[in-house]
Formats: sequence, C-alpha cells, structure tokens
Amino acid sequence: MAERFAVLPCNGLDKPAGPLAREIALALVEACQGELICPVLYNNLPARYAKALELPLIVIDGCGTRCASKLATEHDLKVRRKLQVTDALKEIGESAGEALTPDPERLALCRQLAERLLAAPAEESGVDAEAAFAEPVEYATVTHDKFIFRVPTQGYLFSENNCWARVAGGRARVGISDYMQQQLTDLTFCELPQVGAQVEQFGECGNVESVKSVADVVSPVSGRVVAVNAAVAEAPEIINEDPYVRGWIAELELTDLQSDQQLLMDGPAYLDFVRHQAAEYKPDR
Amino acid sequence: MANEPIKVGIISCAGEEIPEGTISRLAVRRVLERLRPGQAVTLCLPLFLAGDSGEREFARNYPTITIDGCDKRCAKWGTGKHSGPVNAALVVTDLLRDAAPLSGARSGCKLTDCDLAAVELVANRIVESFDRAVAEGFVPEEGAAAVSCGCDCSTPLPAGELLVDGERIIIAGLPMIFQQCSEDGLPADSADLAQRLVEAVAVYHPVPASHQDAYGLALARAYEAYLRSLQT
Amino acid sequence: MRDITGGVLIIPCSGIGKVHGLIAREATYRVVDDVEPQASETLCLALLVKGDEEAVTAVRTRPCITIDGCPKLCSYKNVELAGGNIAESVRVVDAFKGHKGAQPGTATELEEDGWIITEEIAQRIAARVHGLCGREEQ
Repeated sequence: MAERFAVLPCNGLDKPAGPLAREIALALVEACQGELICPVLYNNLPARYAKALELPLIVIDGCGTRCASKLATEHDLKVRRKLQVTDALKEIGESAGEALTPDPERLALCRQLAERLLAAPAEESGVDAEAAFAEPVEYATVTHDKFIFRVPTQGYLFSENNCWARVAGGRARVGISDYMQQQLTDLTFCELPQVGAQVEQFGECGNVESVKSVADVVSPVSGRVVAVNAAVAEAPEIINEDPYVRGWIAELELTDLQSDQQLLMDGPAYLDFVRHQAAEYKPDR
Repeated sequence: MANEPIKVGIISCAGEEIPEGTISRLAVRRVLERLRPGQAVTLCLPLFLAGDSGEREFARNYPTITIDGCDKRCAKWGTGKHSGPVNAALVVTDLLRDAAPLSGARSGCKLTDCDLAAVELVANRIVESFDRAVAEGFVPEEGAAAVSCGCDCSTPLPAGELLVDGERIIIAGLPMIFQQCSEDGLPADSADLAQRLVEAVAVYHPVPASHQDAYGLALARAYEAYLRSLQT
Repeated sequence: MRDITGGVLIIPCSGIGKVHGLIAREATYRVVDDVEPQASETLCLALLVKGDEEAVTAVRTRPCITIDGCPKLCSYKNVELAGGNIAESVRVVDAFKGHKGAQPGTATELEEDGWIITEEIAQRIAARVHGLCGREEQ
C-alpha cells in the first residue's frame, strides 16, 4: 500500500498561487488517501489534527511568504516533504498566471506536481536525515552568574569558534553553540550558505546577525552543502531558542570526517572550553 | 573561586507608569556599566517573574538588591516570592524624598538635568547597599525558613510551602495561619474553608485573582493535612 | 499616576538586559505621551504580575497591546495569564528584520538606528490604537 501523508497547504486567497496550493493538496490527499489539514483551523485548534499528524507531513506553500511552512515551524512539526508552488512551476517553465480561479491547464499542472511530489525518492526529500537528526539530545551545563550554557554530551563535535557539527551517516548538520547564541543575544538575521557550495573545514557556512554583531558560522567539517534550514532564515530566533536541534543552519555531505575530527572537541572537552571562556565572559547586561 | 569578586544581583522594577521607574532603570544601568562593572549582575524582572531559571537561581544563591520605583515594591515582592529574602530593598520615591522634584518625563530622551541628578543620587545609594551586601555576603537558607512578609517590619515570619497547580510557593506566615484557624475551631470540611484561608494568606502573600481557586484548593488540602498532623 | 480606566493599554516588557527592552519602553512612551495621549496609556507589567486588582481589571476590560523585546514574550504571556484582552502582540525583534546592519545602541541608551526603529514601532501601534478607538466609537 502506498504511503499515506497528512497535507498542510497554505490558505492564500489573494494570489493565484494560493488556490493552486489547495488544488495540489487535494490531488495529493486523493492519490495517497491522506488527511488534509486546514491551516486556519489548525492554528486555532491544533488538537483537532493530532490524529492526522501521526502521518508524515507534506507542506505546500503558494508563494515565498511560506505561511504553511511557518505554521509548521511554530508548531514544531517535522516536515517530510515540501513544495513551494511558484518555485515548482518556474522549474518546469510555467507560472501561476493572473487569475484567482485556476484554469483547466493549471489544474492539470497541479495534478502533475502532486504526482511528482509523491514519486520523489526518499533521499531527495531528506527522510533519513530528519529521522537521524531527530534523536533526543542530552545536555550538560556550565553556569556563570545568571547564565546557563548547555552543551550536548554526545553526538556533537565542536570547534573553538563555538560552532558544532552533528554527524549522521555520511552527513553532518552544523550550527552555533548555546554559548555563542547567548553572547550574540537575539538574532535578527541568518544568511544561509548556497546549496551545492563546497565548504572547507573552518570555512564560512553562512552568518548570523544580532543587534550586537555579525558572526560567521564557521563550519567545523568539510563537505558539500546539500540542505539548508529555511526556517531559521525566516525566524532566526529559533537558533536562540534551540541552537542544537531546531536551530541547525546547514547540512553537509562530508568529505573527510576522519581528518576533520582531529581538530575538533567532543562534548566533555567543549564543556571545559566553555567553562574557561565563560569565566572571561563580560556581558553588558 | 575564592579570589573572584563577589557578584551581587540587582533587580529593578523599571515600572513603566511612573517617572521613578525610568529613574530606577537608569540608575541600575549606571551601577552595572560604570560604578560596579564586572560585579553587578542585573536580573531582568519580567524574565524573573516569567520563570527564567537562570535569573531566579542567581538571586537564590547570591546577594541581591531590589530597587522599586514606588512603594508597591513589585521587584521586592517578586524576588521574595521566587528566590528568597533580599539583602536590601530600595524605593526611589523614598530616596528622592528630599531631592528636587522630577520633571515628570518618562522617556529617556526627555529627561532634564534634574532627572539625571536623581539618577546619579539613586545610583550612589544603590552602590552603598551594594557594597554593604558584598561585605555581608550571602548565607543561603535551608528549606523554607523565615520569609519577610513584605511590610519591612524586620521581623520575618515562619514560612510554609504550598503546592499550587504544581508550582512550589513559599507563603509567609502559613504555619501561624493554620495554627490560628485550628485554635478558632475551623474544621477541614467547612463550606467556606478555601475562601477563609485565601483571605488570611492574602494579608501576607498576594494571591492573583486568576489563581484564587487554585490557591483555595491547595490551602484546603494543606490545612486538612495540618489538622491530621495534630492528631498524631 | 494617570487614570488607567480608559483607552487602550500598551504594556511593554521593559526588559532591562537588552536594547530591545529599551526600544519597547520608548515606543510605548512615544505613543502614550506624544502620538495618542488621549486614547492610550501604559501599565506596569510587574504590577500586573503581582496581581494588583486595579491592573488586572484594567487589562481585562480594556484592549491591550503588548510589546515584547525578545521572543520570550514576557509581556504577552503575563497579560494573557492575567486574563487580558490582547488586541495585538508586537515583537521588537521582528522590527529589526527590516533593518539589516542596524546599530540600535545599548540597553541604557539608544543610537540613531534605535530611535528610527522605535518610531516605526510607535507609529504602527498608534495606528492600531486609532483603529481600536474607532471601533469602540461605533
């Protein structure tokens, strides 16, 4: 039996891409006998869809505002696959058109996009990576004055630039540590690296900006960027809230972990490192 | 660790409604940045009240001073409720009693020279209390020991612990309240037990209107347990 | 203290540790003292958390606009907990997203960028106050 999905489309009413998102969602639900989630009702009454969300989730955004993706992020939902209508149409040389009511030609395109999304192989949609990186994390802490800095005890490697890499299979996610995000305070921007870019160990892999300063995200490992976390570009505060899991910045296909590791610290070693750094920490608050 | 300067926490009410709140905020910032840099640690009152564990834990383990804009003493109340007694509790209206009147401005861009002089005065008074707190140090109390009832009578009341909606609350005077109710013959199955207990507690410990029922339930249970303990 | 029985209540978090808290506070004063003094007033968040009856009654009976410096949402959460009638929730950190590279100042004093952001937030809130009062008059 084909895999079933829960489908969360956006609710765009004032742009042509919105109704197309809905049509794609309807086609998906029909094809996989899945569950359709109304974004407005979900926002007001999430419990209504608790059962439906036991299924893997597909998110359909009409346009670059990505309302459905944002809603999924706000509710901490794990997204198995996603599609942004205007981008997907552009890829096949089409557009959303001008009319708010889809014409037969665009309805056919919607069915086509739905079929492509369902047929996409698991690796491309990052299913395995999501599961691997979703494992729970245990933390040790360093306290300095009123500040508490968390460090994962296992599964993470750290550089002296206060950035981390979490390895799963031949890939690693990278981000900034709790100590670093607290030094920066509330992040206002996160610039992501380009997918496909080659990054050397200790090379730049995006940057983050707060009211205090701009800081490069220094990749602890070398590899090719295969995914970026669009959620933190939309809402950089996710990095402040959860720097080690939801606040990941980029995912790399590793090229030389064995030699990269020799210059990195594991959790306990980084804990000591933070303890020493914190002793010199002089916040202005 | 022994050679590290003693850190002191400072919690300002920073009340928005009155000019004294602005004075309080600026005075604390002055102490933090210029007068005692590296030693003063400001604790954000909104964060403190909202439950930030780092802020509350610091106040529990280090000398702490509160500065309130007015005699409603929100910072002192909040610190006492969530962390424990404070080393000093200052009130701006008291400190400025003999000073020139404030202009009434609340925004930082409208403060006059007179207002800025008030900031300086309050900051210096904070430093006096700060230095005294450093000299006194801090002795953490074990368990729910004596707690100030908030009236500045300098006679702490024995406190009791109550579990309200899963949260541990220290109530000043609770053992005495139970004792008095018991001596007055108030039975555990009295129809208005919860209400009477809440009214008695509220004299020493503010009970938010939205939590009256939760407090009533918790107090009734605790009182019932107290009466049973008298029988054993 | 001013009468808080009428008008829209604007409640900043006033977090003392970050510049965002100062911007929240200054934006509030810009609205209640300059732009909409007849239609708005502020209220001490700490007083509300303390359970002051007058403050609790005020947030339950007047429309409230909360302004939070950071995503911890101290003002929004506490007004909601008190049963407040929140018409809008403003986050200062969101306003920064339109000002890449801004140098707003410190938690003690705002720089020019900080005042620009403050004014933006204040005008947005003032427009909302205006709208809320218009609705009430109907």
